[in-house]
Amino acid sequence: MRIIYTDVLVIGGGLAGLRMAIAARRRGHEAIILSLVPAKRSHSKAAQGGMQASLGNVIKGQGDSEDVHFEDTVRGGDWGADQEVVRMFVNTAPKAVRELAAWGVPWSRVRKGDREVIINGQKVTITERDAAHGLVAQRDFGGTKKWRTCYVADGTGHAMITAIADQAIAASIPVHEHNEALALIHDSGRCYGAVVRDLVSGELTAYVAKATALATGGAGRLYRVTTNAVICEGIGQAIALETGVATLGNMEAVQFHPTGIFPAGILVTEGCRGDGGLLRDADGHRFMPDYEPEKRELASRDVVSRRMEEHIARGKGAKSRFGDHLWLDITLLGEHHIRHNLREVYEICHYFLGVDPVKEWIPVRAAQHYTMGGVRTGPTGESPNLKGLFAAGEAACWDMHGFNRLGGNSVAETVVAGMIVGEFIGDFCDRPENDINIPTAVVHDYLEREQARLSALLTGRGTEDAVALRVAMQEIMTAKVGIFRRGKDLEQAVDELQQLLVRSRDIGVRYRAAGANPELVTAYRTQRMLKLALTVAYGALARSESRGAHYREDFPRRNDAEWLKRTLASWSNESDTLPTLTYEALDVRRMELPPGWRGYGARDHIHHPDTATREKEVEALKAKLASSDRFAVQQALMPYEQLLPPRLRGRNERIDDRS
Amino acid sequence: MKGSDQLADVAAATRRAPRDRLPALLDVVQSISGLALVMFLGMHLLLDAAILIGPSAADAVARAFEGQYLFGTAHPWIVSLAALALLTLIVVHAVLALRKLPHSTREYVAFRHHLRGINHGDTRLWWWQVVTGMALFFLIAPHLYIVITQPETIGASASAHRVVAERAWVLYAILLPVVLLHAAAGTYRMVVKWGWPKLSRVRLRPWVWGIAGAYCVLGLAALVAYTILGLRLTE
Amino acid sequence: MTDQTAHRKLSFRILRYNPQENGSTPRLQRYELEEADGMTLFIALNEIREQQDPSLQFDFVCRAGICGSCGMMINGRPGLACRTLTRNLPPEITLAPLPIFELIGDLSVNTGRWMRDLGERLETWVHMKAGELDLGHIEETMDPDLAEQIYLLDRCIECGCCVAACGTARMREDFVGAVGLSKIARFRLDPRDARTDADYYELIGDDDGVFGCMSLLACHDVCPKNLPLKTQIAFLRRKIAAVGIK
Ligand SMILES: Cc1cc2nc3c(=O)[nH]c(=O)nc-3n(C[C@H](O)[C@H](O)[C@H](O)COP(=O)(O)OP(=O)(O)OC[C@H]3O[C@@H](n4cnc5c(N)ncnc54)[C@H](O)[C@@H]3O)c2cc1C
Ligand code: HEM
Ligand code: HEM
Ligand code: SF4
Ligand code: F3S
Ligand code: FES
Repeated sequence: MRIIYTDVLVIGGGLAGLRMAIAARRRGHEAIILSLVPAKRSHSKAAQGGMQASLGNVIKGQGDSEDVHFEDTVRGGDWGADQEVVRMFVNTAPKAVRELAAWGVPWSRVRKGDREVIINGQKVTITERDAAHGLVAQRDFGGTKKWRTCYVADGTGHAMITAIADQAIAASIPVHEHNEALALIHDSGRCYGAVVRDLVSGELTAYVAKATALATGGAGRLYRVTTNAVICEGIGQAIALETGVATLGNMEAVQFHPTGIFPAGILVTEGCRGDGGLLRDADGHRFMPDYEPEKRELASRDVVSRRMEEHIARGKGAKSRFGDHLWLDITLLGEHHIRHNLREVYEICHYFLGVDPVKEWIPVRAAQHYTMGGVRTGPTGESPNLKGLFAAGEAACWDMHGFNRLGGNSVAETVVAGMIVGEFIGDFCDRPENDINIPTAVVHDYLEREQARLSALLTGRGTEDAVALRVAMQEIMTAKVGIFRRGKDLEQAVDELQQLLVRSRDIGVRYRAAGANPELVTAYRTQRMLKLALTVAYGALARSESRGAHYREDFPRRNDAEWLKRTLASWSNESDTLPTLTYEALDVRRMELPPGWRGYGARDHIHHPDTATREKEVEALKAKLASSDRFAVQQALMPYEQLLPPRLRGRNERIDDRS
Repeated sequence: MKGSDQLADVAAATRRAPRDRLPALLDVVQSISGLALVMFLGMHLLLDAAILIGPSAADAVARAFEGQYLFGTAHPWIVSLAALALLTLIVVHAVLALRKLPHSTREYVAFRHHLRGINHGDTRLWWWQVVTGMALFFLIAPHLYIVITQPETIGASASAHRVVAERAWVLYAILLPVVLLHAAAGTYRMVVKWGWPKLSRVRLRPWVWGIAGAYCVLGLAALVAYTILGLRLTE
Repeated sequence: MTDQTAHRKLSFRILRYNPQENGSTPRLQRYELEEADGMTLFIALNEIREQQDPSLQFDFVCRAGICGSCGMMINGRPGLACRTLTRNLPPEITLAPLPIFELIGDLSVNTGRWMRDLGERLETWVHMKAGELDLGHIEETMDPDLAEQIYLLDRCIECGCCVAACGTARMREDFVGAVGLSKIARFRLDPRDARTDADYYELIGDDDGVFGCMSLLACHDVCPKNLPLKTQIAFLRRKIAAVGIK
């Protein structure tokens, strides 16, 4: 059992982890990245569609700004988001795209002159401005007023992580691949690193660091059908939960993506619909306009996914031996467009379905896609409860997504949060009082505790089969904690999951090698995943309203009066079978955009008592500052710039500012 | 590959050293030597086929190369000299090619193993190029030896005599397909290697193999012609 | 995907070897499995592991053909297991780990380490022109076609298939492989990279680099992302040789 010391331990080599490590490294701190897999194979790689940033280069993005991006994001999240954080985010996103452009990401670029696009099923000619020629292009994405999503054909995440991982190599940041954090080391409310298992040799090492940053991505594998990679098992969130100190925010907010390939769940990008693709039912009928006449296929994901399930429930799904599904029709985009701008989609259809999307429709059904919840942090990315623990990316609940994140806002979040939180980590490490002062005895206790847990699995007499427990969990989550949720189902789910959790304490493995041992890995991860699943199910049961992706059939209205608050889950005692839930209220009186209608979906929410007052206040301020520019208005409504690291403050230039 | 931290140092060290131009030079020379040999072979087989027109045509070609029409008298040493130059070219070419061959049993075994598993046409073709190249070393040597030492014996009847009575036909019957295979594979490789002319492999292959095939037919016909002449001479 | 043909019995022969384990020796192990509709090697291998042999090692991450984790020798040819449909294979399927890379165990190899070394050695990142970036300013323009061309080479997923398929790489440990060469071609194309051909010559102007490539082209034929490796390596050879003989 070894101990490795470093300044910053970054757990996770996806976009968020890499960008944080680079930021810390540039501030002169030593950083080590841990990853289950080579960094470039992290699931950030899979993002196809793009990254939102209000550059406003394309003509359909003209007039876009941080303000519009802000409103879209807050609405998309159904007012669950932390609006200050959203502001920090929207102001940094253009900077992030521009930095990545300089680092070599081959963003698709604007070509001046006429081009044909498909909008609402119709061919339309639009004319790009001369001044925009060669600048980063944007495409349309669900839930946005302007075309804002910057993209690299349909390999955006791939291109981004390639460039960032290469920058990390340039900065000589070591990535310890095939290493898994099993537990966070903490003492008296201060986090000191992690106990890490080498997945090849099985050896345990303690990484002791001034700052520990979690960037372990999503937890899609809690569900049976998911677009997520097989390593997206939520272990990062689980080990934070297991500290008993750090909290997880809004774990019940789980996003389902409308277009997972049926039945494998592999994603075809939202860009398909953004570029003009349509959803059709068994009869070939385009049904979305019937439900959502305004945004149609491009309403936010939670709405489209629900409408699809609703339509299938009405018997309109296409039948197959694996169940019902709907069709995604992109044939109208034409061969050239599909083969150039939707190349990955073409390949996926070709290899996994044997379907040619140029000529045939693609079978789709909603699949688990994104974990809005995660390790609760403040605006600096640090856990409010566990000092020295930072989190960013999908693993975190920094809370810019609220109860539903917009397409393209997630990879944007990873990089933006990486930049911002990375700076704060730099500040944290700069302060002498944050030097490492943990006794090695404590570290050894942690190592021994984890070793004992592993030994219990390897040499104990447990009889439960981890795979069976996991499959049972995934079935429960998919059937009862999915797109439509009902109190009764959720109660059952919580019950059954608790039983599974208890049984999971008695898992035994057949293959008893201490080194590389896939069965052992499944075993200890399943134990942790069950806790996580319980925070999702229990949180969902408790939240008796519908908000964003969390939809309760028995409580279909959004209820701001009672539920304008963030769920915080913690696991106080190892022997518990349920998380402890507490709530953190969102302050309407400080919101720049008071709660209202999202612009799509239902209009019947229950108001918060402060909403009306705040609305009036906002109106009054706007009226008073009618002659000032938008920055002054924003500053008056909700100042946020002071929250940003100094080097990331400042306005973003656009071509419209130039002329 | 070596450890990563050392690598950075190595990279830095090489940056400071003056550029080593040799590798580029060798690569280019290898292709140029190959190309020159291919062009020579093309010419050679055409001229050799003069026998198909008749013994006098073959004699005329032989005399022409001995400088008869330039100097008035034949100087067979011109041919010897040319053959020597060619030998040098071949040696240069072969030595350069040697770098590409397996250097050790480990490499040899690895490649053979790979070849069997991968089942890939162009990789197999390379292996045949290596095999034919090695064979050529032994096949060309006796031929050139004769040409260098007995240049005066080149001509319709002497050659025919050699082919039949001295059984040179055995050598030629092997040398011809072997050298053509090697030259064709080499030409193919040069085109894909340098990407010029811009041809897809699918369109390149029929050209290369078609021309090689035509040469093979031509060469065999010439060999038959020599044999017939030789047999008639011995009667 | 809805073909209703009777399901075949598939027979897998998988190369087993765990270098971590004392006394483990390479051997072929046989597993039988009933084929299912739309079955990929991802599905098949997981089924084998869950139902027959919990010790079997292999790597999948995205299971969608985009992360490059699952390269292995499928009936002698390197390919991505996750997107290989069993229906396109004969009923006898032999699986082996990619050669050349360090073996972790069974079908799992350490391509990550190899690629990281390559990245360090070839400095595969944009070497920016001097000066601090001003992130508040509009980005530099780039020709839309050039951006697409760069992306075409940037699509490499570092799966290692091209390396495993290359006879040269099989013989020469230090050969950078098609992946290394295509990366250099990518940065050469990128106007944001300040390096010149003379700089690239230092990186790949030798027999471990572009001049070591014997144009076997198996790389091109197996690359799961269909990178234009043939034309790119040829192009690079011309440019780099030009620097060398000048
Ligand atoms: C198919 C798909 C398409 C998407 N498309 C888009 C899109 O177009 N636009 C968009 O904005 N978003 C998209 N998203 C979402 C977005 O890609 C992800 O949310 C985001 O990339 C997550 O990045 P991350 O850095 O937080 O985590 P990841 O990239 O998932 O990285 C997690 C890292 O943590 C490591 N790790 C995990 N657990 C441990 C542990 N215990 N110990 C050590 N290391 C660990 C892993 O090895 C990995 O390196 C998509 C998601 C999916 C699934
Ligand atoms: C002793 C005799 C010879 C040997 C050992 C030999 C060997 C080889 C080998 C091993 C190669 C492959 C090199 C590589 O992969 O890069 C090669 C290439 C080639 N050879 Fe030969 N060869 C011989 C004679 C000839 C002759 C007589 C010709 C012409 C008729 C010829 C034409 C070529 C050509 C055109 C190439 C391709 C060059 C290149 O790839 O750059 N070779 N030779
Ligand atoms: C200057 C050098 C050379 C001279 C003068 C020369 C001359 C000849 C002559 C005269 C013949 C006819 C048979 C004979 O007289 O024995 C012949 C045959 C042949 N030579 Fe050469 N040769 C030369 C070099 C080469 C080289 C380098 C090659 C191989 C690359 C080659 C390949 C052949 C072949 C294949 C034949 C048989 C042709 C057939 O079957 O019709 N020769 N050569
Ligand atoms: S070039 Fe192709 S085969 Fe080689 S590593 Fe990249 S994607 Fe894989
Ligand atoms: S297979 Fe190898 S030899 Fe060159 S053309 Fe490809 S790298
Ligand atoms: S698992 Fe990602 S490419 Fe196969």
